[in-house]
Amino acid sequence: MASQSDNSVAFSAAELEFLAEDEMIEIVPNMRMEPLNLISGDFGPFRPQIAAQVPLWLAVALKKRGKCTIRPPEWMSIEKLTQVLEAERDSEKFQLLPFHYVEISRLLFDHAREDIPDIYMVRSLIEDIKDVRFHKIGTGLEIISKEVTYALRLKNLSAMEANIVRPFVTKALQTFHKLNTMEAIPESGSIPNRQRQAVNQRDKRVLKGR
Amino acid sequence: MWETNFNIFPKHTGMNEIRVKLKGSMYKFLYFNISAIFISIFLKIYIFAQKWRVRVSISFSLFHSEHLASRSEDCGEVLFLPLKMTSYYDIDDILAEEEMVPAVFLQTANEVGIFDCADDTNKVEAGTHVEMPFWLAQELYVRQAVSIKVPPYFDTKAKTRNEIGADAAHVDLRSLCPYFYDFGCKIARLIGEKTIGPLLLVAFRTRYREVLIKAHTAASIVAPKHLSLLTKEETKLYEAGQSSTAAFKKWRMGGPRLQKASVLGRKRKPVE
Repeated sequence: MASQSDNSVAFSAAELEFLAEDEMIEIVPNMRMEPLNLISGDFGPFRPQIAAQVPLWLAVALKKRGKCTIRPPEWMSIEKLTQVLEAERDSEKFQLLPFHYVEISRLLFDHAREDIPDIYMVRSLIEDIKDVRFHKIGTGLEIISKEVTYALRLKNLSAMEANIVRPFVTKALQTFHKLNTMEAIPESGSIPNRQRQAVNQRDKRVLKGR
Repeated sequence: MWETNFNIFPKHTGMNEIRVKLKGSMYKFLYFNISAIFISIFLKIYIFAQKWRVRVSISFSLFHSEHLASRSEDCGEVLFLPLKMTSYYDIDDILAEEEMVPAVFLQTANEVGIFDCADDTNKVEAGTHVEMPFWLAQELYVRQAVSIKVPPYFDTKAKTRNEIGADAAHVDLRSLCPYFYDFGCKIARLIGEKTIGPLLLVAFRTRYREVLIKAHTAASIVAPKHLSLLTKEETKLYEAGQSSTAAFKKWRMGGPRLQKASVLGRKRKPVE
């Protein structure tokens, strides 16, 4: 266990992308196929022009083979994203977005460009939202230094954002925790006591008279 | 949004109450009253299970993995806890004890002329001022062989203290002591010096803000002047923030999505 590095605490970006691939998404197949019975569930049956819910990894796999078109999720529209961006700029709080929004949007931009309407606009909106949120995290983290902090709880933080700040935040919290406990309990008593005991022991070590 | 002061370290019980609420539907409210150790073990298992890239919904006897992570329609709450404590094998912990401290021998000691070799007697008289590494001084102090003084930069009357009070961010702590905080904690605990704790806290609070800004903004441009002022602890913090930001940027830029296994590239040896 000693050799385990801190890296085991955080995921890599690729690992997060892997986890994000389990999110469900709607596809419109253009082929006919029996239902797929996988361990994680049954998907299908697939009929041409009839929408089906599948995990993202399956959607991407089918898309690569030209067997379907992917329907972008509801939140990935210009109106929704503009709303979120405005709210994000106005308020202190993080807005509600899918937990894996960074990963999902990247996967879709990479593999299903032609299925997303106004892709350039959508892409730049998501970039903007991400930048605003990251800036918020950066400024927000200053709070750790202002008051005594034992833990930090954030609402609506997405997987990628949490993962990026995780090593930094846990290290900082650890150091602060250490220094705070130092200040709260100056263990002035402990060592001198030990010392006194040592002295006492030596004094007592007198041979019993017979 | 930034809730910080909820009590998860109750002083007396030793039990940690952690409310984990990661999702937003009906299971999504899990309430544990078990020790943090248990949770960290569980999380490790979970992380490993995920790393093995098994596309299976893993269920444990206690609760279902789905409650904890990936499948969610919305972001949950994310809870950061300082779980990792220093371990026995922590190299920084060991190196921090290398720091020299001024000490005075209380008793005459034989065979230690290395500290104060005036002549061939190879011994040190009581009352001699010497410098010795902290790990040695610590043991001798407990056995009442020496008395320890704080190094000059922790001294109450020293210049360093004023400098830190004025602007901690620009004090060159690294040249004073590369493990300023760890070492400060250790020596303050040992000799019961009460003024060091607040000093360390003030210094770290001010400097933390600098590190935070530098770590997450200056993406790949390293500010060498700033870095050379940081202590080892701060450098690590800086690197943690820096490397995760860089890793994310790299991922976003793209690049090879599939990596070739090292075995595949090799050419087979021609059979003779």
